[in-house]
Amino acid sequence: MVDARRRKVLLVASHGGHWVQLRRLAPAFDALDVHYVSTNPGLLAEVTPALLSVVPDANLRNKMAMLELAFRMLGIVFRHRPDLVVSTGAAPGFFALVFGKLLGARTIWVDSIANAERLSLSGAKVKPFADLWLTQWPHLAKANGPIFKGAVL
Amino acid sequence: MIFATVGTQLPFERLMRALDDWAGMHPERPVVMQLSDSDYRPRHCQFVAYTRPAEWEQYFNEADLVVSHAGMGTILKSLELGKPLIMMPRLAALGEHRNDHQMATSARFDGYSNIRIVNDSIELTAALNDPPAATLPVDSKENVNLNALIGALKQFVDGGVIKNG
Repeated sequence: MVDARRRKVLLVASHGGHWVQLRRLAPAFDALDVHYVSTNPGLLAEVTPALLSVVPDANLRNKMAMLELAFRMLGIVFRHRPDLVVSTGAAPGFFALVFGKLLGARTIWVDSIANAERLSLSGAKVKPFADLWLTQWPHLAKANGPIFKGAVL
Repeated sequence: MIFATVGTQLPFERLMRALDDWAGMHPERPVVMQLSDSDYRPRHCQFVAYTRPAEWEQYFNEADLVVSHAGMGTILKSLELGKPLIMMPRLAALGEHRNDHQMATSARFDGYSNIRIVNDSIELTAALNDPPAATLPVDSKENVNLNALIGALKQFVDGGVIKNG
């Protein structure tokens, strides 16, 4: 039986740098029931006993892949009904926050530390859907967001 | 062993060609290249298009030197291990990425002593002949920035309000 009182969090990042950063932040969510979403099935070994859903990666060059990603992510968010959705990027995280927010979850975006000059494209677009909207660079923080509270390094 | 890696999104032939040329003159230094989706075939190096995450970790761990694009996954892993890293930022003008954010990323991580930034084949050759030294892992329990960020996330999870400052 699933403990109905334990809150669920969806941790979402594409494979590579986004994933490494997400994993570094994972201890913040130890008290919650964690479910991962990424773009490479080989990452399951690293997160077991937590579970991993796999979605296709996508970028703006490929509209079909983007559409498929959006549908897959909608399905995952709908099935899991998370209380909280967290992402470090990129496109998979954007859709996870959008659908999470629409289905009533609280949402956190931590923009990748790779974006030192300006926020990532998905990071900028996700603002209306992020309850907590963070950058990892103090000089990118603004009064109306994003907020700087620290970094993975 | 030298491990060269360019991530999963795009190939980076300029870097791989330059490294392969160097490897041809240094048969005593075995090189494994992860090429991504590339038509390029190195003549002097072992290569693979993609690795499983666990394989990538294994190559990274076994390598005494890593050569890469300025990708965050590679940077974070090299800092975590204190592993010597030579990295070349991708340039949008050469069609190597959508924009020049890797130039900015490189500049930000230039100060770490185990990381060397190179911009062309000449600088790469010089760095390979005289690579940066390994350092102590910078990532540890005392990592102030990471602990602060995790603290803010926990506060938010517990219903707190997070503001700048």
